Amino acid sequence: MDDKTLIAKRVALEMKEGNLVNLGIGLPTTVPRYLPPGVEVYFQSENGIIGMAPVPGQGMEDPSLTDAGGGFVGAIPGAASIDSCLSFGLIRGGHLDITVLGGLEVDERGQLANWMVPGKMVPGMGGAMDLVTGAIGYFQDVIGFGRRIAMLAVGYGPSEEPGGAEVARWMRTVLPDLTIDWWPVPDPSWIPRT
Amino acid sequence: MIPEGASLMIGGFMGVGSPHRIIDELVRQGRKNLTVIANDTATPNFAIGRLIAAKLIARLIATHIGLNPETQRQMMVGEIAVELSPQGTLAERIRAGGFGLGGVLTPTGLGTVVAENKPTVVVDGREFLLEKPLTADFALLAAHRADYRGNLEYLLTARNFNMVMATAGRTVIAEPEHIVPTGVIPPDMVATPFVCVDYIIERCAVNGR
Repeated sequence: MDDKTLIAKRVALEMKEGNLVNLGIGLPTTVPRYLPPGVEVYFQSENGIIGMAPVPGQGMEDPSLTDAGGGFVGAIPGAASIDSCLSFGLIRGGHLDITVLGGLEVDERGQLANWMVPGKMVPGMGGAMDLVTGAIGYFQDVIGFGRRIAMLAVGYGPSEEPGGAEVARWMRTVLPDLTIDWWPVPDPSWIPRT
Repeated sequence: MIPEGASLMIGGFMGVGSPHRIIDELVRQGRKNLTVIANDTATPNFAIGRLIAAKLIARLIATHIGLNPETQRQMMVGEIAVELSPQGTLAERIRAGGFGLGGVLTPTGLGTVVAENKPTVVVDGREFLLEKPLTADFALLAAHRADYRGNLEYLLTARNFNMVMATAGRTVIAEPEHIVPTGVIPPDMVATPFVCVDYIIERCAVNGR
């Protein structure tokens, strides 16, 4: 099993029945393949659909139905088309249960300070910043509910570890009253004891 | 109708829901020095990527250019001035411009380079970044169907930025796949009302999309 499949499978284990899940570009779009049997979740694609599904089959592609990377996808019965304002209203407003960001975005968190250095790759933040802002909303909800511990799991490659640490550093500045720990976990099958 | 140096909002997400025929015509006429506000620049030589390839864009406000290396190259060598904006922020800045609001208060981008040189506002103890509204000379939209009045209906993820941009262009040109008689699109299916739309031009088949 290659690294990307391993990460996607591990992320899929986090999905719970009825969750609203956002998938970013790249590796995250492969996560639905590895959902635990019997678990039904709803995928939001930031470009404007709730209820994204795998492409129905060759020849069935709809040019008006794609994921955030521009690849063809399908839709479940009961799916909803939404425009960009509503899509990011849901994201920024904390209506998502889980966000899966691709390595590019996580990596970029660490690179943000350098994004105008000539000669360096500058992909742009796309929707990643709004998604992380939504995660802050999640933590604030958790505090509001009186829970004492919350976990945000981010799949990453070794080269993205500095980016992950940077996210934690940034979150400490946004949530100064909260103890925020960053744990690099090399074993992808690691599950926290509850 | 669109002069050199015009500012354009262009709908679409990676080319899905982009007005391909209008873009092709801008390329054919070689309209230079454009300011473009859009989510992305698609891929090289596709959709908005065609304007990039033809070097017609002088200034770009977008959220993501990672899938078009040519945009990045032109930015590096200083041929294009690029302002990157978080995607939700871009959508709301356009909405503010179109809806007559003075700006957007958003938590997105606080504590990062996005917040540099921008004022912050504290509301009930929470800090927000003040992002300014956006408008443009022209909004160029794609739609599934338009009726003769200009009511627009979209399909699936081809809706994206088209709906909000319809409010923020001083002149709004829509490119539907089909133009149908008034009344064919039921009121409940109209996503963009005709009052927002100035001109419609049928898609015809271009680029397969």
